[in-house]
Amino acid sequence: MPQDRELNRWINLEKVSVLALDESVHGCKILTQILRGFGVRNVRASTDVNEARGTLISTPIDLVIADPGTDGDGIELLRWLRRQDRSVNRFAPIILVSGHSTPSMVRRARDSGANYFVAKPLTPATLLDRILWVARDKRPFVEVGEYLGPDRRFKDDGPPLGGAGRRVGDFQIEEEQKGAART
Amino acid sequence: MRQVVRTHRVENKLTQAISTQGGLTIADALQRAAESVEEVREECMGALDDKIAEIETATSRQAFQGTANEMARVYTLANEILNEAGAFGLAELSEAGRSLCELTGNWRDGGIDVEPIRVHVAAMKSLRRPDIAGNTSLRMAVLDGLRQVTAKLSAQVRAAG
Repeated sequence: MPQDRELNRWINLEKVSVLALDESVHGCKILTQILRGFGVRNVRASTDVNEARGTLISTPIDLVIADPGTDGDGIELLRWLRRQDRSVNRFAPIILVSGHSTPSMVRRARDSGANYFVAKPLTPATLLDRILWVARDKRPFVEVGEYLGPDRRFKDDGPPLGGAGRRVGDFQIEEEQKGAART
Repeated sequence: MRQVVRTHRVENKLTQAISTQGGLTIADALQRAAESVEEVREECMGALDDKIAEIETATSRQAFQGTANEMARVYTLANEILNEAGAFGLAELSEAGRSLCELTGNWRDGGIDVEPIRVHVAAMKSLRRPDIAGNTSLRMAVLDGLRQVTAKLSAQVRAAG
């Protein structure tokens, strides 16, 4: 929930393009209505993972909001997106929104490369708070093993005393400045 | 084993777009979003009733075996009830959906007695009745009953290993 002092802050989502994926027709409508209320004009709503994949291939998207679905098809879509070397949407911010989740689904979601995980039921306040958080997110994307997504470590207090560090710099590093990747 | 880590510093277009001139205040955005959701309330309430009815029909059939496919469908519908009732402030109905998810999530491969599912359906239907929907203590009583059913069955699953 945004702080009281934030409520008078101006935001502009008019030109932001959002892909909204929810396999439930009415879940998708609720998500779309919330986004339109925020002032988003370009909502690409989809209830079908394959249709959403087509949108991600053909259209530049600034933000993806996806329900993983009870069988996790949405998560596989996001993992696929992060692996598309030539896609303009490869590094698009992703917010996963999910209702009931089994432990295995939570693990898969964590490793999907999403920027943030939001528990349903959705409220406008929670969703807007997370969108603004993702907009402020300055974490670099990390590619290691099967994972490609935002650095999952939020804090950097240095390596544990007496232990070997595991951060970038502790391994062989290939730093790639891809500032123009999404331009 | 040495592991190659590559980092990518990428431009977040969302950051730039949000701070361009125009738009609306956060307070207005929240207000408009709430109003926008209300536009689909009636349709979504009808859909919630349809979902409860689908679970009831499926589980009242003599042919219902509690197979993996049947359980997956009940789980999906329960999850949608959790999500969509909650979005309209129907907290107890949403919790009933969550309780049914917990129940059916433990038996995704089938093998559950159908009776606890029917108890959930009866509870959901009662939570949609105006006399109960408008009475907080009755809604809480219905939900407490469901929690006890689910907790008892979940304990049985844990005991069975």
